[in-house]
Amino acid sequence: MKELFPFIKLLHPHRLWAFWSLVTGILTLFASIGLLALSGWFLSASAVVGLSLTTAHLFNFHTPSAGVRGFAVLRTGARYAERVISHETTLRLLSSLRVWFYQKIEPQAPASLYRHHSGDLLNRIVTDIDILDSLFVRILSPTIAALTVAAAVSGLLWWLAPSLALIFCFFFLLAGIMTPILIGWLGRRIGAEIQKQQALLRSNLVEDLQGMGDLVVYGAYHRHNNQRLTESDRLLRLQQKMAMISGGSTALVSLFGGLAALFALYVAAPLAQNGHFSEPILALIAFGVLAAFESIQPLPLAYQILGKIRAAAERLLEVSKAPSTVVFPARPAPEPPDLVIDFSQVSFTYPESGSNLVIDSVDLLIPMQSTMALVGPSGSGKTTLAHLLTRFWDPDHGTISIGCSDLRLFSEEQLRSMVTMVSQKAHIFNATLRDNLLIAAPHADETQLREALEKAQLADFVAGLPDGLETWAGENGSQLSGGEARRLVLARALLKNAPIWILDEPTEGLDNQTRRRFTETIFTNLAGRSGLFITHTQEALARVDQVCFLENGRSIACGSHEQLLADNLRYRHFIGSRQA
Amino acid sequence: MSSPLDWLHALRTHCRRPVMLSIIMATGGGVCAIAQAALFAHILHSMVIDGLSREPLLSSFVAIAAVLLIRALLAWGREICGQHSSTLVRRFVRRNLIEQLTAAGPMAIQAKQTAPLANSIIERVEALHGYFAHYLPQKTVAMTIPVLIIITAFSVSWAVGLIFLITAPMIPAMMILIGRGAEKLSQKNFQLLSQMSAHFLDTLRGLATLKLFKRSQEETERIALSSEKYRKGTMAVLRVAFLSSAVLEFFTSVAIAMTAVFLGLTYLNYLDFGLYGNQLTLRTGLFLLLLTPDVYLPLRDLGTHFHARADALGAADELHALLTDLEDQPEHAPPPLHFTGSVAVELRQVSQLYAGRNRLALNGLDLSVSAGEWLAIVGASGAGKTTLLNLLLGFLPLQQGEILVNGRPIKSLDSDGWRRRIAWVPQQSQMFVGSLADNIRLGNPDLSPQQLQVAAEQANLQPDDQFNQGLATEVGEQGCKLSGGQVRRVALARAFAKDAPLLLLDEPTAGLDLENERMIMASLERLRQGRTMIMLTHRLDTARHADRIAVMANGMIIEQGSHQQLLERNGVYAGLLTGGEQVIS
Repeated sequence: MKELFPFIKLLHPHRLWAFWSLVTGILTLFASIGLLALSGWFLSASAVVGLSLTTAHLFNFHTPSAGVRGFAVLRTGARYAERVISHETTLRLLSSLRVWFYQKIEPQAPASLYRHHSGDLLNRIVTDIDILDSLFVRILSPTIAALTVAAAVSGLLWWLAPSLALIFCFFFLLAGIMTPILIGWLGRRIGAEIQKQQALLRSNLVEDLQGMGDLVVYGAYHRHNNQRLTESDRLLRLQQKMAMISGGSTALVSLFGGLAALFALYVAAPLAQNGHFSEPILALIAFGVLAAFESIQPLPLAYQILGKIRAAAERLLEVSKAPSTVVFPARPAPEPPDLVIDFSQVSFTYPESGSNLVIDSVDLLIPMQSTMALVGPSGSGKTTLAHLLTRFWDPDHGTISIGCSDLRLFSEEQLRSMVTMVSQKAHIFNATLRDNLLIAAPHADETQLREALEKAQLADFVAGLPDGLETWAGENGSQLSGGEARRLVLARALLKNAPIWILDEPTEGLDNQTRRRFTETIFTNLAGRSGLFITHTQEALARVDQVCFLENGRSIACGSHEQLLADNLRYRHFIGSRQA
Repeated sequence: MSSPLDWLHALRTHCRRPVMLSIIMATGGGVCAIAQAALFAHILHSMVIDGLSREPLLSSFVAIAAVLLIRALLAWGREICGQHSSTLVRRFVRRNLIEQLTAAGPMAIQAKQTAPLANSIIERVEALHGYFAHYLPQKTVAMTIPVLIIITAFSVSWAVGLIFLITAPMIPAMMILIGRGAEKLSQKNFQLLSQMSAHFLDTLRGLATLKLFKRSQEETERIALSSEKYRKGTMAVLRVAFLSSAVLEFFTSVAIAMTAVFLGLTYLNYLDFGLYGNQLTLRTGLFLLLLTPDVYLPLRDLGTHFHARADALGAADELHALLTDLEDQPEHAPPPLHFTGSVAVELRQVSQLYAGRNRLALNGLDLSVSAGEWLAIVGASGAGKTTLLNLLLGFLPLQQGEILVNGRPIKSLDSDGWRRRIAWVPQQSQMFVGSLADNIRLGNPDLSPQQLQVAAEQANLQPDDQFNQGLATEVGEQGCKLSGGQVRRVALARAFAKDAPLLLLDEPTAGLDLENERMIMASLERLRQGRTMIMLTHRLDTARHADRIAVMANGMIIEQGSHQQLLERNGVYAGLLTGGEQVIS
């Protein structure tokens, strides 16, 4: 349960909401119990006194009947208040959870978040946070409410007769504690199996869907489809087992509630007849105990969810605990005299990948206002090398410097204003075009925006949109074409106006014509800047000052494109194979 | 299948019996509740009024315990039946989806992307669960039990029966009231929550970009702000929506209070009506009082299942759209084609648009390939090569022109029979979890170990250090234990094993190093023996081995001939060889 404490602590700012949510929840339960128990007593008492006409008219029915009506109104009001307040608490907790997680993850991003962890992980995180928000409303609140009710009811019963309190506690423990534990224990293994089976079905299904062409041409689809359906059937069977267990728990709780009332009545009967208390109290006891078990109804389900909540908490804690690998000094370094970029004997390994060198003793020198292309097969370390210059990671060995100052001396502000990146992977936010641009320069005015759009050759496109810059970009920029999205990313970089650009396959996935025009735009805008260009397109390679050919994290050859084509067979071959 | 809702309703036919059983069990539970109330009332009456001790009432105590047990068993059985209904429906939908996707073929799958499709088949189908397991039976139970209890109440006292009828002012009307509120609640709530999650996900995805612009810290505030905004919006909806359930709650409480007060005052002789002239005993009074909450309980339960309905409706929207989409794929089932021996292919004036675009991929293309010929098709990407191959494979329906196989139109062939005559090596062959042998065998489980071995050898798939268990070596998920070159060779081995007269190859050497390329080319020389082979390639080194080379641009063949002939002609092909790609686009 330790993993839940950090999240319970997040409730602290919302403690008043949580408190009132609990109070109203408990009031609702008490009002329900009071309503039934008092009604039962009132009926029995009036039936007894009604037996003779004289006592009947002496009986004060105003107080109990007012009590019954009072409980009725209280129950309605409290239930409504409880639902509103508990949802308020949940949503506030959700908001805190998001902020908490973001603050934890932001300093270590993107290092720990983006390699090896796919989009799936991000999805998972968001789902986990959504699961955790029910910590209060589904777990803490019903548990506390049930315990309070149990304590109050047993107190009252103890006062009537200790034996009644013992019976009540016994069944309450059975229903409220033992049943959830038993169900949890029975369900855990099946729950894990369900998860495994679902993952298996998913990965096999993805393979089949991707390879449907192979399956169809080779006539194997029939068999594969049947295998998937068999896997799905097994999943359904496991879920059926799980339903048997959880269905059993609900049945058990109501069974124990009924038995508790029955036994209490059985034990109370001789006490009433011995004059320990009056007979109508019997009805109060039976009805009250029956109603008190209403508070346990949500518990078995709550403890089934608890497993999920704990797993979600563990995963979130694990992700958020990863150490921040890159630390920036608080104070900026003196401005470098020039902007020569120098990689000197740089080696790098991803923390997760063991001893596998991703970058192996690479030397690069990019003079001021000069461009260099990184070329190589996928996995050769091009993107990693570029990311080292943004300090998404720091090299394990060797140094990277700008203008003879080690990269690690610059403050974050300083480095970000020197280096910017134009990449096919740059994220376009699901916001307006304007908001997407303002990320680069929050205070840019209309003229600056216009200018950036002009330079990126996006001005005409934006002018043609009915909503102009207020147009929504869509999820991952889905409202934009491939070319428009790249130009938006370029405009964003232009707004940043950094002297050093990293261009990570900026034209990947564009058709020939668009690609050529976009390359043209890039080079026009690169004038007067330094550029590190990851590409294998001919147009770009022909225009950069130097090309560095990478294989397996090593720099194999450096020189101009023509030079390498002439001298280096491997390079020629590689470029030939990439000819598109 | 006119609307998602109709589709969802139609699925009921698959679970009629378990749903019915579930309703019967739940209603049986209602009967037990009535019996339980009667027994409790009897015991209390006997003790309080008749002054009996517990011993003579022992049989009643035992009876209550038995009723409690039966009630619990019925509740359990009901849950199991509900689950079974949902299992039947989900199994049917999943099967239907997988079969439709297979029928629609790889191009349709590609257009929809595999991850969302897998999501539909798994998660979206799961989302149907609550509707069939809980909501559907409860909808009926919310009628049967209250009616049952109200009838029982009327049989004892018309006044109390009337209280129930008035406080549950025509139960269906109330259900609509709650239904609307609860439905709006869960839909709106769900929508807002997913919007909020989507925004958060968007921020996490863009964290690297934010970081680069040093905007990531400011984003904290925006996350808090947007969460706040959504919270306020959601709460405004909820405050109203909860009112409808408060109404139900209110009626329940008022009914209990009114019943109690009515009965109490009758005992005290202030009131004297509503009992068909009978004397009101404590037994009757307590019986009625105990029944009161049970009138409203099924309605309240129904309210809690409304979110399941909203979930199922959301899933139905998506799944119905997907299935309708897939159904649009033309289906033709011509008589099975029987032919053996070699294959010649001829394309006449074939024109084809790119899927979903108004651009021609093929533009009046004419091409013929004779039996036993090796044809290489070269050209820039976007020239229409892949479209051509997809037409031959039958992955795309032919829009214009004619494709003839041994003189017969391809449209007249049954697609399974036709594909049995083809071996295909795509650019990215899919590897499936299992052994190398499983992957080579793929469509041919009867392949003997010898044949398997030969196919592997022909494809240069030699056992080496990495394949320490020979062909029994596991390839891992998505073939992750294999290199790119090895995957290509497994695909070739598949083609060898299939032994089909027509071979279609898409970029067999792309992205490979020299050594791998040599191995593949050597295999291809063996593979072409006695077969017709059509190969797409970017690489001129690869193309030159073919008998004939066709150069494609803008959806047409602009040049063809042997390597030597084309060089002599000094046209586009010759230009490609010397000058890079600018020549064709």
